[in-house]
Amino acid sequence: MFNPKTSGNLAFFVGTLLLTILPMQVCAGNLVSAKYITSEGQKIVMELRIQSPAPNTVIVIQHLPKGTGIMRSDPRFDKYNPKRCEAKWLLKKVKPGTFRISMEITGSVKAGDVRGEVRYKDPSTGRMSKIYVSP
Amino acid sequence: MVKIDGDKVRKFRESLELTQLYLATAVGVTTDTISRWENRRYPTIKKENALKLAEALDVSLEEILKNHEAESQEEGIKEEQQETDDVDENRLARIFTIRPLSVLTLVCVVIISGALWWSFFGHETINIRAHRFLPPHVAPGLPFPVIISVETDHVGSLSLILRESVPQECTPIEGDPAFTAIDEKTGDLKWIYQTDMQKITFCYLATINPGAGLEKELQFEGTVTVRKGRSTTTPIKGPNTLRLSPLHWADANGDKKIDDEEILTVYDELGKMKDINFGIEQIEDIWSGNGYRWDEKTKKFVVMP
Repeated sequence: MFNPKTSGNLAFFVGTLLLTILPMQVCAGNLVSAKYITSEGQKIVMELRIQSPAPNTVIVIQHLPKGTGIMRSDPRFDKYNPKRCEAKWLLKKVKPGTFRISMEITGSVKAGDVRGEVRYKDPSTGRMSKIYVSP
Repeated sequence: MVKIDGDKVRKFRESLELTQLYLATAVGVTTDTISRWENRRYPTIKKENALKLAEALDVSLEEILKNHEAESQEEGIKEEQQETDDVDENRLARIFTIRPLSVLTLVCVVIISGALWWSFFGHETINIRAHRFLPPHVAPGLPFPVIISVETDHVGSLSLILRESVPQECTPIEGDPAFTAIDEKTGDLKWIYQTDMQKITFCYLATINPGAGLEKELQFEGTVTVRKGRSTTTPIKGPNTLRLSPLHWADANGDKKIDDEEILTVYDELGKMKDINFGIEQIEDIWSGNGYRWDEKTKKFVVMP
């Protein structure tokens, strides 16, 4: 039979449990985090923070406004799609720590015009993870 | 058998100031037997014991016999046995024959029980898991990798034998660690490996004979046997079917491109193959470019720029 008091307690318990577990899952999935150090003008710098256990390989994707090219980058990008204005870096043998990707672009961009993406496989589960980076 | 006079025996012994122990030792019986001989009126004993007894008492045999009578016949032997030294002999027989037999039987039972217990429960059960990474498809004539991961909960040194049965059309090229043996007839692979690690990865590069027909499906099978006391054999799980097709083995979804997930899988799985060249340069070229196509003439993949 439905008991409002018991149901209330149960809901409180489940809610508390979810509030406890969900942040843990998010933390467990955040092996890689990224942010823009610079995202305006001609120079763009993205910083990756990699935790242990580090994924073996990480792909970083930089989306640029249409008509924008990359003059140079460090490290050098591995793939560039001019139609999509999209550059990709394949970072191999990744180790825990901080890693920066810097690039000089043709033309000048505003802070809101760039966006990035980081893809990797969680070493413990083998599942593909994607994180999106905005200025 | 003869009947002796117990009273005489006692008197002779006491006159010579001999102890029952001395007589017992001289005759080869126990002091209880001597006592019984002396306390009974006319006990029947073996003639050889009577002779020894007479010699110990420094008298003739006749002097200790009942009324100097000659030795009796065998009649009555059975009924006298309980009263004579045969009783002692039977007791000795029990001590040296029956008891040791019982002890021996008991020891055998204990040993057999122990052996049975040891064979069933005495060994540590080792949990072992083995998983094969096998591409879904491969083009004939081009090398492809196979990875077998072996995991165990066991802590400490472990010996294992990994057997991988490959199809006839398959030719192994190299292994990491190196193959311990390749069966010349079947081409089956074998590794004998000793490790103290809980996760071991076996990789090998192989190729399918160029003449093998496309769309054919080839089967792989294998087992891992662990020896730590008792043997434990586990089948290798995971994909075991390889289809022959004009697709690159790293192109898992067969869309003639190598996308981000596929190249990450290649690096995650094949990063374990440190000393084997499985064609990563071409995989990166395909990933960087716009896909690939199969050239039927050259039997090779052409990267689309």
